[in-house]
Amino acid sequence: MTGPAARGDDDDPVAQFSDPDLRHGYAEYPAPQGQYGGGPPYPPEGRAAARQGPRRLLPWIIAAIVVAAAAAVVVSLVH
Amino acid sequence: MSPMTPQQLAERAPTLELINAEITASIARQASSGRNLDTKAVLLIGYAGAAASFLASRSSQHVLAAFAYAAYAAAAGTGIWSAAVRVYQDVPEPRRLFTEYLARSRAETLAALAATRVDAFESNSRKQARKATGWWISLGCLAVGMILMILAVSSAYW
Repeated sequence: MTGPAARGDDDDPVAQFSDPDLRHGYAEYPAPQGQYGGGPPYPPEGRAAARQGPRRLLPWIIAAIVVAAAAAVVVSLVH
Repeated sequence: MSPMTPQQLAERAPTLELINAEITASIARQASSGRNLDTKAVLLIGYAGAAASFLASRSSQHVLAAFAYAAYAAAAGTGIWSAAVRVYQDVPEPRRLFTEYLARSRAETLAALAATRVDAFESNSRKQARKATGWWISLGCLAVGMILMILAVSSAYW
């Protein structure tokens, strides 16, 4: 027997209804499709949320690395 | 929260449908985010390789160059680890869904799908968090390697 009863967790609705046998491994991220598997991949709030946090630093870090590489090339060519 | 009866479940079928759609959209965003991370990790690996090749073609201070190579190797290693193929959880498993849920009600099936997707999402989130950590470590190693390379190349002429 699998599922919530086997785990003895009756208070958690997820545990109550979850069926581990419905899951299966996928070697890459699966993209859900279908009437009950679809949905907007990028709702506006998702994009807005993605812009928060460390991602704002990313362009600056990449720019710094590119500038450092260019400096190394210039230094080595000048000498 | 007490366990729901089949009757309560049937009454909440529209809500279950909404919950299932929202969870599925979250999984789709998670999948897209994972693919973006893979692309960025491959970029870092390529950059580390190109920078190491450039350093090898130049006269440089040996000790600093050795540390730069080590940083590039670490950047490439963590980048490869970050981009490595992992086994993610997907829902539903087609045979199980057909054989076990054919006789069940729509609400029961939706509840099982939504709840199992929550578990799959949480499992995939943990893997993605580790992948993101590996990418940041790779970026840090690359940045350190670049600094060391500049010092190694420029100090050779001092």
